[in-house]
Amino acid sequence: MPKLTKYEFTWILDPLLDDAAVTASIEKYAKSVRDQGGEVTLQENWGRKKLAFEMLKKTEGIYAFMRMRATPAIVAELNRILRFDEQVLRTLIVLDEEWEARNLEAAKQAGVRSAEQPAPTPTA
Amino acid sequence: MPKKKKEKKPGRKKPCKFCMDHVAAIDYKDHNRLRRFVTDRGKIAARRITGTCARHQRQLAIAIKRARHLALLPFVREHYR
Repeated sequence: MPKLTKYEFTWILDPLLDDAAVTASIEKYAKSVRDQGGEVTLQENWGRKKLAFEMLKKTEGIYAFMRMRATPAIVAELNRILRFDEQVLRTLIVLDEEWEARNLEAAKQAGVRSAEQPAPTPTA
Repeated sequence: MPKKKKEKKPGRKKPCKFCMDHVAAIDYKDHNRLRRFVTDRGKIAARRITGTCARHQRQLAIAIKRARHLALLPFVREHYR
């Protein structure tokens, strides 16, 4: 069993889809990850958002987000399926650097330290 | 009379906003915060403008580029005058 790494996976769906189709898309990719031995720790629908620029003639998109533990092979397979999915406008899969958790931790440490000390920036 | 060369005054060093807020890692999803670090044309603002420290500027550049990819931030603002 290869080591699992944490990833964050965001993808933008066609704005014409209804809620059921969005949920279905999220489930589809979550299932794909699980079937290959990965784990999905969080799946979210961020809802409809205005795009900062036009993408395939669309000005809006539905954002879906997932946090997972997977292997590079699983990510490669995800990218492969995503390429053929016509509902998907754009995707981003990056290593999960646990931004929120680390920021909370840093804020906590800063609170403990004296005020004259500069901000602690723990190394990754 | 010869023009006097403008002397460069060492300005006050701006504090890094991320250090002040104790941000350990800059998140690409936090586009409202990132928005303050791009110019009105959509370019990444230089450190000398924003006062961001080197470490945070590096993280910031990556975060902005990721946010752009997800259309959370513009690459260029077209209707700018």
